[in-house]
Amino acid sequence: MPRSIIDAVQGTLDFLILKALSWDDMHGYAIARWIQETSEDELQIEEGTLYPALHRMEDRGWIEAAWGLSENNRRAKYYRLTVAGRRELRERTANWERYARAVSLILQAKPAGGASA
Amino acid sequence: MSDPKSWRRHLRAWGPDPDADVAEEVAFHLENRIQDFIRRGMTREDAQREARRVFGDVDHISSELRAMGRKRLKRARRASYIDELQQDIRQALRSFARRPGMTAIVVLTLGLGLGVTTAVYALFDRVVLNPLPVRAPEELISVHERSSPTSTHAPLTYPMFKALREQARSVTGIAGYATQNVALHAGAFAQHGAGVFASANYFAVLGIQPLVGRLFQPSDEGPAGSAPYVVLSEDLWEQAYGRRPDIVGQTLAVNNHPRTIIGVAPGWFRGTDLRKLPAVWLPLNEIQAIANEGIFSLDIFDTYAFRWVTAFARLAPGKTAEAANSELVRIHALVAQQSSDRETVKRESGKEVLETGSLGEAAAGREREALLRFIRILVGVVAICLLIGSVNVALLLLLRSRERLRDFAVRRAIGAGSGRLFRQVAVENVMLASFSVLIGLLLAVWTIQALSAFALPSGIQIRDLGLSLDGGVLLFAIGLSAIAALGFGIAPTLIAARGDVASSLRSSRHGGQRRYWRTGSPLIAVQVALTLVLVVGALLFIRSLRQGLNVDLRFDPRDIASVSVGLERQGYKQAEAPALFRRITEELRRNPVFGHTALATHVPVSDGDMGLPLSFVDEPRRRVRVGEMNAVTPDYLELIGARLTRGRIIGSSDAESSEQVAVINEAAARAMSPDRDVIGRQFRIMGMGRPYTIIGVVADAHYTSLTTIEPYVFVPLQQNLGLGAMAELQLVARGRGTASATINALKQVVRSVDPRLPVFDDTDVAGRIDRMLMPQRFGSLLLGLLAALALLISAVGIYAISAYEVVLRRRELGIRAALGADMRALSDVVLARNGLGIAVGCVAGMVLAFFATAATRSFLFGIRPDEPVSYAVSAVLLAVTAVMASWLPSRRAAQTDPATIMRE
Repeated sequence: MPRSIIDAVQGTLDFLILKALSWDDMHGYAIARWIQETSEDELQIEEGTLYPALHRMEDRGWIEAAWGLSENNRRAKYYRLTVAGRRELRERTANWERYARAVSLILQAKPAGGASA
Repeated sequence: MSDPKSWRRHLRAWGPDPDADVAEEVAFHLENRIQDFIRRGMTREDAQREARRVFGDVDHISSELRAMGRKRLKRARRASYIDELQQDIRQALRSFARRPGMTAIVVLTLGLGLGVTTAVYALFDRVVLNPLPVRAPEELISVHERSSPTSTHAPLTYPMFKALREQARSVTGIAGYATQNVALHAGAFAQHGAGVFASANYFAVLGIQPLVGRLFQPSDEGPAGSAPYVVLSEDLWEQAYGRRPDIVGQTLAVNNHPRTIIGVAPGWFRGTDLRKLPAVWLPLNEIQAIANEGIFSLDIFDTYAFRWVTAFARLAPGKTAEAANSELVRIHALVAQQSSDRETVKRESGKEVLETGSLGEAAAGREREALLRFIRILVGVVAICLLIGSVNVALLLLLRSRERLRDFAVRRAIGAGSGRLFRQVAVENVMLASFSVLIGLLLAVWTIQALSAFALPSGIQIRDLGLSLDGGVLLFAIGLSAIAALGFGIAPTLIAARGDVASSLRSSRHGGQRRYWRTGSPLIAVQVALTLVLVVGALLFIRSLRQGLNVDLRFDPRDIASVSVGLERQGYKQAEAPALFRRITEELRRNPVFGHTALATHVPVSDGDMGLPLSFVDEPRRRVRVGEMNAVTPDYLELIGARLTRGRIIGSSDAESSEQVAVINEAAARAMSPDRDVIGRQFRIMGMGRPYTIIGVVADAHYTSLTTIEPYVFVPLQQNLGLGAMAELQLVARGRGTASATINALKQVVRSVDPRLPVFDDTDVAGRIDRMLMPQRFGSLLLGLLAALALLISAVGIYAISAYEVVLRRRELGIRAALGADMRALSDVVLARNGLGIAVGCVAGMVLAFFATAATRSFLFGIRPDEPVSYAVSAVLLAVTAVMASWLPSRRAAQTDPATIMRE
């Protein structure tokens, strides 16, 4: 996997986590798996970096953590989106969409001079 | 996972160990990843390696996570602590607001107790703990003479003072002073005040710095007239000069002698004698010029015959009080030896020994013991008041905690630790304590102001003490409130909360009822008992004051005044005395200011504790102790108004050469000769000497004590010069003007007879009797107020408990009433329960009062501390009050319509 993609993912890791948790409360491993699977294995993150991000987000009050039982009946730390986290997700999604739209507009642009058409 | 109930369970399970959490979280991740890889067909070893590679640097990330976790935990703890504290405070305020009456009672009750206790502590601190608020007061010793172990302290002669000062090496300096009342004039300002004539090192030895200008320095101790200076007290600076800053150099007239002001002493220094608040300080050498003009012809600075310098010293560094004492005693003995060679000083000189003692203890004066006893009573009384207040607080909080029992049980069941519950109670009590302290301090200030109108035994005016709520006293008040509020507040709550959760939840609203009664009833008993002690004490004091005010002295003390002179000290011999007495008597008679005049060895009400044993010549074995033998001129019996019941009174015919005679009072007649007429019988003092023939009997009167009448014997002065007349002779007069005018006129007489004769002491008989009653007045007022307060507090407490009990049982009572039960009978249940506590309290209180009031014995006039009427009245008063307080709320309940209750 090219290095540049990983970097891009790092910057938006928080965003991805917020999105992952918007479906359900998850433990760290499930989040990693969700990101991989949902992106059809295009986004391969260094899994260890997930945890400092989660803890930072917890400190910021976007998510909260609690111990629960995993699918295979093991103790696992579950993360859950808070109200603040949900708001953050909404804002970031809107920003991202504006940004993505702008970028795709530029990428789809006709050569100069025909722009007014 | 999104089920809120299970979520809550997770929250509770979240343990406070961040390191373990990190390890577990990382391990969980790796394990899942390995399992995934294995499922995809990897070997276990490969899967493990691959999982760690995909994860990244496990150790680094873990340590980063651990650091974050620890930080978060710390933050969370602090946040939750503050949060909980705010919650507790809000909850406390809410509960105060829900029961404003009860909160007010708790706060006021505690506040009152704290207020009076703090005020009395301020007094105790000033008089007993810290009588000399100067630098290192424990180094200061008083230096005085004493002629026998039982006699009172005597000042030093000036030559002796000087000799000690020059020779003593174990002290850094011996300072001396004498206090005289002086008249102060500055412009329109005129006032009498105590003038302290002080040696130049007086302030230096005490370690006092001037507030303004300077204090005395060595050059101020030159010959008389060389230092016409005066140092003001801060009070005088304020009163006479309005604190004007240019005070130094102004002139103050002291007994009409203009003196230049050199400085002001700080107001916290109030002299070395609690009884006399100095208004000004003057150089010691000025005393003759200013205060004793013309009275002494002898040079008081050069004679060993006149003791007038009150001396004190500061121990030299490293010297003990014992070392200083032995050195001073040695010097004193040597100097006394030399002085008797140089000057013929009669009587004591050889016998008087030097003594040193704590200057702080000397500051309270001769009657320090009586003072301490009195203050101890005060402390005891206010302590009881505080205790009653505290018990009330305990009672009321016990009720509240009962109300909260279910609340507590629920909270504990959902996991609140007992530490958390304890903290909530503590917060509530700290808040109550803080409110109480505020009220208490306010009250203490008022109490101190009120106390200022009174004097303590030994003549200390409380207003002269300058009491204030300074550091130590404030600390005392706050500490006390903490103990009272926390100790009496938290304990009952914990007792109530101790019960097991399940039974409390199972039971209805009346959960914990039995536990309450186990603790509640004894508290009522304690309160009743303590209150009873105060009420008994107050009644004793009040009745004693009434006795004192109404005591029929059986003589008229009005306008009687006297001054005393010491003939022997001035070198008079017994042979010269009769002529001198005649001259004095003539002078007295000539003065139109006086009504009756006389000479005597004692004036009433003297603490006549002579206890001389007399026995009849024909009955030598039978001895009777008399309270006093007063050697008087014939006019004395008429002056004092003694009413003759048998025989004749002393006349001028009873001269030195004729038969020795005596007039006794009825009490003496009863004691000496219950069965035979005493007239004509002869007795001897201690079975020795010339016999006295009894010539008359007079009616009893309170010559020696306000409380009792003792056997009393009058003998002619002319025949009894050996009975103390040479040591101290009283010139007595019933004046036509004020007592002080009479005293001044008497002093004039002394001066005109012999200018060399110093006046030792003066007595205003009516004033003396009044002062003897001062502790009674003070005690009655204070105890009366406090007892009334205690009664009110107890009544409120008992009322509150009963009212609460009734409220709790309204439904039950309502149902019973609806079923036809007699409501009145129901209300008796409440009464019966409190009744036991009240009865036990009354009995215990009587026993307690019996022991507690024994301490008041020496302050009670005409009444014994175990006198039954006071006890009976108090017990009835208390029982009625307590029963009423229990009965009223239940009666109110009984009058309510059962239907109303049922609808609630």
